[in-house]
Amino acid sequence: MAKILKNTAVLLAIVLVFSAAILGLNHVASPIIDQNEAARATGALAVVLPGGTTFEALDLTTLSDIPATVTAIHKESADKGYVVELSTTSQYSAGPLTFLMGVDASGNIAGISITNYQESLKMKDEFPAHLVGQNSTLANVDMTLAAGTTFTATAFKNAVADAFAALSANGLVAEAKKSDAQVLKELAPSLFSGLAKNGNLDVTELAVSGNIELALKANSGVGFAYVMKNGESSVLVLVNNGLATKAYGVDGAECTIPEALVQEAVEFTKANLTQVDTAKFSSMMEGATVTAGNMDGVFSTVAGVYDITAGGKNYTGIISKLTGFDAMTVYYILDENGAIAAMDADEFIFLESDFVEYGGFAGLNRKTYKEGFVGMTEDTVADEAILIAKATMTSNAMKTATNDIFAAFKTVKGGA
Amino acid sequence: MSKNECRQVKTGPALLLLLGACPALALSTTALSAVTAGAFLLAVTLLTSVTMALLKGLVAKEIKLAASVLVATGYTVLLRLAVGAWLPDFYYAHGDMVLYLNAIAVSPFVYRQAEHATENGFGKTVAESLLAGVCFLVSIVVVGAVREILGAATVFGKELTFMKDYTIALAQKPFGGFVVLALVAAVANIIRPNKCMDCKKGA
Repeated sequence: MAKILKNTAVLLAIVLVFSAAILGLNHVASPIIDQNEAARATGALAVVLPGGTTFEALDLTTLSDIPATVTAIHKESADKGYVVELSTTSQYSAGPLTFLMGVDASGNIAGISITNYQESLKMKDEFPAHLVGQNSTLANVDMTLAAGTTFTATAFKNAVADAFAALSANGLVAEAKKSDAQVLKELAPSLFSGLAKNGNLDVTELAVSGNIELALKANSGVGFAYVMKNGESSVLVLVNNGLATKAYGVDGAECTIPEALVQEAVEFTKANLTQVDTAKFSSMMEGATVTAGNMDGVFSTVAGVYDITAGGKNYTGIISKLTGFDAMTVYYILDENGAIAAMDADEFIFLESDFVEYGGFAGLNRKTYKEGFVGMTEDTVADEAILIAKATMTSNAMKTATNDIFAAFKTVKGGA
Repeated sequence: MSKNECRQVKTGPALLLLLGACPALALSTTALSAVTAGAFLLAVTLLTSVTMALLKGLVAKEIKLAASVLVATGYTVLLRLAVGAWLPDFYYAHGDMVLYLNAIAVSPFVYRQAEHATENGFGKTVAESLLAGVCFLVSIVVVGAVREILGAATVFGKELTFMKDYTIALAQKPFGGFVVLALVAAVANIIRPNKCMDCKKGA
């Protein structure tokens, strides 16, 4: 009994001594640790808002229209600006991409610091770095800096836009006004899908002349977009490879422009047009004669519409150029009723070398896959026939191409 | 080298007995974090052993382990508070590693040394604990360095350009930790000292 009591007393004594020591040290160390924690947090915030000293976290529940990507907003106490904490993901993210973005009192990005990024293929530092100094218009975003990491960079850019949206919606930072040219440029991909790749404008800027303020040539080769002076205002003029045009105002509504402007856009296009190779049609249909067809109203991924005659019958050849995992050109021949008579493609998905390099296509029987399209009409588009196992991006592109060619057929043939 | 000191090297707690494998794996993703963890464990081991040596007459055999746990836990908390307050750069240098430092309080490595301490005098305890702690530190730093080189092509944060194209991300994951620890332990088994006279006499 005495031994048990002694042992208990010894253990109790040890507990008491260490408890007292911990209590004493905690009393001294705790405030210092709190200060260190605060300095550490402030330090991270001050990195993206140089000159910032103390920050106050705003209660997001009291703010309105806060996008889901905005996880916190810190206000610099001397009104030097704000630091926004953001978290976003792209469709191929291994985990959330989180970052801090400082916005100075003038509404310009003062700094960006990535705090968590787990992708195996990371976007280069140049991409976030080149956003510093830009305002809410994000007028000078250069997606070429994100080559190979387009999905992540797009999610990143959208999160940056969300941060500005949250700040301006709550009157914290004034929204910068976009120029008409920028508004029109941003409208272009939604009006002419072939100008975009993965949702971003994918174009080459050409040297301008006359009334053309901005000339963009689709990298896919489906057409052109021009911002043109129309008196006191600016308009967006789209021209496809068939030299058909459409014009839009800053409000996004289709408008009519003087014939002289149309001709100027057409002439500019002729001078910069790259001819689409139609030789594939001959291999798809023996004895086919191919002539350029009407492309009025076709502003999608369709690069060309052709009239084909073979074996005494008339067909319509349509070529779609777009991006799946890589650039693709897909050829379709439709019969007079709008049913696919033949489909083929070159580049990427049907090249033997790609089958070897990309295991995902190893199980794809090319002949069977192509034959799966024959007889398909706009009303019988079958996802299972288009799907390529383990090749989501290419499958999605094939689906887009197929839908676009049916839409083009309907447009040029009047819904036959 | 005395019998017990020889034993510290010969049985290399981290690599041969695999004591303290938890911090060795959790805290050795880089060489620098391994140094931090090793130094922390060395300090806790030394302080716990010295305290247990001083309490030698008071702590009965039955409560030796319980007392060691209380003392080790107490020192771990005290050290963590002190480092957090006065060495913040060191404390925050490795992100979540701070959480794993608590695991040192329940490391069998510390208890083993504390148990020896109750059998030895003060001087011997200090010498043994220092030696065991340094052995652990060296072991974990080697594991950390190997994992950092293989996983990130850097060592102590310095880039090794020739390794850049040959990194194995798995090396810095828990599985990689097991593999590297096993490899380092295998090498240590091959090269460990075996010509210690005292050991030969009966260690």
